[in-house]
Amino acid sequence: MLRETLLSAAVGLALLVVAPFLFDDIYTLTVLTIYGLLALSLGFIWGFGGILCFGQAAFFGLGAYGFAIASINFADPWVAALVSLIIPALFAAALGAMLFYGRLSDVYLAVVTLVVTLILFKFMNSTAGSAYKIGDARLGGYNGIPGFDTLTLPWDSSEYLINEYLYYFCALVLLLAYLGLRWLLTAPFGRILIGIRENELRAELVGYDVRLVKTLAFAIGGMLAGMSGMLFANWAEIVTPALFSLSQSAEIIIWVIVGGAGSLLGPIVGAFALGALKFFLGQQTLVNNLFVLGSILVVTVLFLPRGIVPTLTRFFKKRRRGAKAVSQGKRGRSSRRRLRHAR
Amino acid sequence: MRADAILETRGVTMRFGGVIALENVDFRLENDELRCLIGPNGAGKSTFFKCLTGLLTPSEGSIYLQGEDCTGIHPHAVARRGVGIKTQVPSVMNTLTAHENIWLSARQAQSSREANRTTQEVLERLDLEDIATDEVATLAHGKRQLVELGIVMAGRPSLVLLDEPAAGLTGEEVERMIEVIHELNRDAALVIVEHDMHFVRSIAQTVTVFHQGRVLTEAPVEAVMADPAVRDVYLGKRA
Repeated sequence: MLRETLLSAAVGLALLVVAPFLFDDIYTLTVLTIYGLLALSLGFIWGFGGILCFGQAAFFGLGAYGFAIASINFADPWVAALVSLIIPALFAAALGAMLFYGRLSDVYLAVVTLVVTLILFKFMNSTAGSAYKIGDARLGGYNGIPGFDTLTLPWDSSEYLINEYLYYFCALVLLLAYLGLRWLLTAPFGRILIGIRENELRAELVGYDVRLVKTLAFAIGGMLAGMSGMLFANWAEIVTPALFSLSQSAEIIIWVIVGGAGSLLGPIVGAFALGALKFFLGQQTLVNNLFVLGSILVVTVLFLPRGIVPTLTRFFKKRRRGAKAVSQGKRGRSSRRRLRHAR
Repeated sequence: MRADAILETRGVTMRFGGVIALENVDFRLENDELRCLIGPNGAGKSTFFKCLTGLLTPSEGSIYLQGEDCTGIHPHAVARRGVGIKTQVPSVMNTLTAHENIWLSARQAQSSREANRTTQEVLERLDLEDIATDEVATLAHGKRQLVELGIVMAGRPSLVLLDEPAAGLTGEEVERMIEVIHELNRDAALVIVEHDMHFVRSIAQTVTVFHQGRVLTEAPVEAVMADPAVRDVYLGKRA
């Protein structure tokens, strides 16, 4: 397992370091990395905790708004970054506790999380008045919050973390989040979480407090989504209510379904592939963007129900197993032949 | 209450709207006792079982585990008080292996290293080593029942609640199940809900008969078999 983790860390690091040399557009590459982290957050709670959250955009938006507001109110943007992780994590923990301790079934959970996102979307849109301010930060309604201080280089606070620096920072955060979740899933907490996904009743009957484990997992997912929101705020340098929109929520789910919810890599691949496609389609007017995304979703659900990465993984595993069996068969035949010659 | 009761219920009543599923059930189980609950369909056995496991909260009455009032506590809290539970339909984690299923149960109250050791022991005791790395979903019904018993064993319970452990098993598997139950009874008291009277005769000393949500009688198995009231409502005249 350690070997596999180290290998994936090395491959991931190499890919993320090399990527800027392969793609000229560092600006787009950075946001794809941020989307990767956002998709990973949903992939974790859905794929491994069995919690289908339709409102991951709520935590994404809270992270972004949290950063913008804290950045205006605190002198140090790194403190703001910390605040932007705590707010969505606490919000997710509170919402999760309400949902899981309230024994809401999967369908209601999806609906409630979606409604929460829409409430935040509506609320943020209606905060244009001067009364809506937190400290020195005006929420700005439909126009959002522009002009806050973004992250600076840790060793030089006069230099902003932009362009290549921001990309490498986002890539590092994504890699660390991926490796951290990999580790978590092999630790007892992760194995219990998978056990709960498989059979909640059984997990309860052996003594696990399912409500607590799910709430913690939900909070971790919320924190990761908030982290991606914080990075997005740094990338866009403005936060608007669109972050909480229905289309944003739907897009995250599509990334995870297409990439594959049963793996950690799948959601990242889905976000990169569909995110890149969206930017490409955005440059033309011939085909509607949403139509293409919808079609890809339908095709994936029909022909690759497990998603791209889990399907490929199974295919290569089968091939490897087949090749192994063939080589063992050949070895067996040749040794039998040798035995016959020897006789 | 006498000190040695591992499980006691007093006046447990369960109502679902206007339907009374259990009425004023008093029940007492001593340490290391093995008790079977029998009765016709709708007699209230499963409802009583669910009340004991915490899956249902009684409308009235109290449930005591080792003298502690545990009425209405959550199933995970019941399990943490040393109660191992096996449901009627094998409740296992399907896409995990037999080893992982048993390990998760052992890990609940033990360190990872200790849980590894316990898992190995349980797999050996139940002769499940060959299928330890198989996904439980791919196993036959009998093996799945054994895996679920392994899950129960790994928790090192002092009280085991089994709901129809012999359901759907072949003759050979039933014999194996009887052995396993006797083995479990060395360290724990057991309450078993069962329909198969041959199975009940093979394992139980005392039987509690439920009828229309009440305890009809409670007596040694042979006495229950000969009881005309029990024959009338459950066993039939030819039993």
